[in-house]
Amino acid sequence: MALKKEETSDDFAKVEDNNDARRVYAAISFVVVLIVIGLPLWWETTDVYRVPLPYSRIAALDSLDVTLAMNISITTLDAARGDKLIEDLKDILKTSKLFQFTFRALPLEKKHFALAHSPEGLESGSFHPRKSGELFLLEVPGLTRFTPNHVMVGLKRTVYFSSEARQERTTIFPIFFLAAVKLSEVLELLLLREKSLRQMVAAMTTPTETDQDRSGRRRMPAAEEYDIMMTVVNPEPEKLQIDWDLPEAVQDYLEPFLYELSPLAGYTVKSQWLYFVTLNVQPKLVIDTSGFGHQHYALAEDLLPQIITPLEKKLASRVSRNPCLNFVVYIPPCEAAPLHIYTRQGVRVKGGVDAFLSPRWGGIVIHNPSHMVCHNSSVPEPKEYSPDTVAIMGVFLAQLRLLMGIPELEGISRVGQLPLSTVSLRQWEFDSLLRMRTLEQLTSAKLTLQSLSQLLGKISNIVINDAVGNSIYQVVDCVERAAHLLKIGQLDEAFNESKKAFLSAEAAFTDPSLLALLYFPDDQKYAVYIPLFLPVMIPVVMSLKNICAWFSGRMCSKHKLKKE
Amino acid sequence: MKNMTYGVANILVILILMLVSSISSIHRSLPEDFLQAGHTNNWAVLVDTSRFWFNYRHVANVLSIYRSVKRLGIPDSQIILIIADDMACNPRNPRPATVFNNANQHINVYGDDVEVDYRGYEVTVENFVRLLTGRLPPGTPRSKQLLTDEGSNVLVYLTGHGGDGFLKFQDSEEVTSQELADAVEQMWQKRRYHEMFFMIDTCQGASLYEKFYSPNILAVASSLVGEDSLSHHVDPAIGVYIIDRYTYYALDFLERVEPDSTKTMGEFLSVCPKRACISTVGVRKDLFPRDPHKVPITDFFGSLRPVELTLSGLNVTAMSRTQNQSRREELKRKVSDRSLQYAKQFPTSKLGSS
Repeated sequence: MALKKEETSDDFAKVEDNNDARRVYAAISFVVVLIVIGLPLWWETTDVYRVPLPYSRIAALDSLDVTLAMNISITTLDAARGDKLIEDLKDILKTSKLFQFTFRALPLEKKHFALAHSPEGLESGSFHPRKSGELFLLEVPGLTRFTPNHVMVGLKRTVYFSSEARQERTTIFPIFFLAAVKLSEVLELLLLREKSLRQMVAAMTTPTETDQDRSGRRRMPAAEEYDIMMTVVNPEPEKLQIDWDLPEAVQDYLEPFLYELSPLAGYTVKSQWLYFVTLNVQPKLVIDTSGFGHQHYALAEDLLPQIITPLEKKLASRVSRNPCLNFVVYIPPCEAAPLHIYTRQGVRVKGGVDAFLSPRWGGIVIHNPSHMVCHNSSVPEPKEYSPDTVAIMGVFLAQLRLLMGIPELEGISRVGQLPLSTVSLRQWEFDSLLRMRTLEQLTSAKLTLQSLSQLLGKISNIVINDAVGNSIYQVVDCVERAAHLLKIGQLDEAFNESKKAFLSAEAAFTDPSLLALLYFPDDQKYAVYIPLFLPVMIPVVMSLKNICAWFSGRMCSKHKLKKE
Repeated sequence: MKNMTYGVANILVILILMLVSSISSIHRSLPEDFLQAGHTNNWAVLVDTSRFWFNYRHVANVLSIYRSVKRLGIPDSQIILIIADDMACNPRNPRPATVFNNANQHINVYGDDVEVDYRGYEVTVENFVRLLTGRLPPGTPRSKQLLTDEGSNVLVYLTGHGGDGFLKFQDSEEVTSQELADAVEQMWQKRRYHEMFFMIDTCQGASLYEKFYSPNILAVASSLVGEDSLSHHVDPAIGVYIIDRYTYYALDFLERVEPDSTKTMGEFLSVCPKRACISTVGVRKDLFPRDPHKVPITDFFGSLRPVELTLSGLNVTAMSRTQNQSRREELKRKVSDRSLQYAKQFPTSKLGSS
């Protein structure tokens, strides 16, 4: 009897053991499914798709060294003066932070002067540098016969200077040639404009500390394409009929100029005529007391901004997203003609041109109908009038040059420029524009990248899709390449790389998918999932303790059995 | 004798102190001239975040500011008007096709030339943030984009129902002050404004501008945290409150401003004292570098572009006809290689689009 009891109690113990084992194995399977498989699976599936970005390379761009290499060739009458000139220029220009100068002395060749009887004749020679960004300084022995200036800047990439052998003592450095001093002034203020470039970069990087200088505020911002809208405003068409072929004027004068500028950006020219639109300001009547009895109307300079504001509503100039330049010709009716602009000092503007421009907007020309047409009382109304195309387009071209960023000549004493006779740009002006736009686009791309990487780093749940990732990689590559190309002096290719970088950076930054609102912030993610999973996980986690205890108990009993 | 030397010493000390203070005041006045550099254009973003008939006063608020800003010169192409636009044609409106901002019903602020850019259910937080940061889908019409640049002064006016740190959009969502501050910072990073004037007329409006951290922002709110902004008066003929107090007094001020006015922002910021507005008007000036009393009101509410005289034109002769013809023919030859295709119906920029 006692044996049976023992047996049953043994069996009971074994069954108990089995049950325990099954319970523990069941608990272990729960743990495996929920914690080992489930948790990583949940983490994976709620992860946000982010392309890995080159954060370190973007941060390294901050300290990217941007210097421009400049090759300057010099030819003088004799080699010793040439060498001394090169040494002097190197000394004066060594403080430049943006440019790396390389000077070369070229030997004098008689063919340079063979056919030339004036500085304009020299322009047709074949010795002018063809590569963008290079300059050539040529000593012309008889320059003072043609002009009182000591230095004349040519239409291509050449600067002519006269043979003044006088030496000049400057305050800091010992004796330099007068020529060296003048040439360095011309280089810094006119051709290279280093101060302007550095101020532009500083204004872009730290706008609260530095402002753009005057030409920077006036210049249109960098863009891929610009729209130009030409408008003719005729307030009283029933009295004055304008006979002008505007498309032809644009073709003859504007299109060749824009063709020269086309490597920098694309242009679309549109034109329109506006009737019954007035200036909305009251000019004052001024009676001429000099005896002729003519009268004219005076428009004060302070009233000029009030002309642009109501006019802009009617120009309808913004149908595309490109920046738009507006050029308006206003032809006053005979009763309100002639209309002249008076400066703030109360003096009439000299030069016969009544025009003004607004920075980053465009320009307005007031073209008065001629006296003969207006006062010819034998002709019935409407009187016909043909505006002077050359005068109007000349003013528009001058304004367009300023608005696109071509620097204007600062008054340096004894330095002149060869006057322009065709509508094309001077080649060194084009180089200067290339340099300025390259730096502007490079700096803009760098700033955009840094701000984007900061945004994407801070908000960890914005999706970075493939398009944005590719754009960002492209920008980083292009910026590094452009800086390298600038250092070796390839200005054209550096401009193209910087343009690609700028456009890709804009595309990446304004991509519509980069919106933090579309994706759940972390606290919302946890707020959704914790009430679902926590009640299930608590018993599972608690049972871990029991599992461990059971396993250690089994190990102990095995140990005991072994010992026995 | 001793007294005299003591007196002389005193006078010397006072003179030295005056000299030092005058020198330091000279230094203090330099930054104003330096910052005169100024803006080139003006934009306005006017938002009404509520809908339904009983929020008539919010629409009247925004439309009145819209009229003032238009009168002072900002063109429609530079105003982004965001309203639910369900008042004028609301079946409960006893004066259909009109919105008034005063019980005497003198001015119909809706008019027949109002240009609403975001209307109805397009007034959402997402669209507002996309507008400010510039991340709009490609193909968005030009009138719905904020095409500002680094010389633009932007006026932002918000009205509706708000609370401590948030603003309610159309009864279904909210924008928090942190999101707004982040959106404005994104604008600053891309240099999309020169200076910003932020006006808000909601309950506890001051909480919305507290989180700003970008420079060049001047902010004013109709009430501080913990206070409610109240409406001004009821129009018994229409049956709802018709305008809010702060906007009523602000409009009172703006109506006396002309495009060539010399009134300053400092005067505008002190419009609506506590006895008139009942709530305290809050102002945030620490992010704004200039003194508001020296800033003309037309810097934000009007649109006067800076002007430079052109004294001479270029003396150019055109290219000769033959040269021009040959150049154009060459261009035509390059272009005619492409097959014919339809012109795009809506011209849009290539930036960001496929």
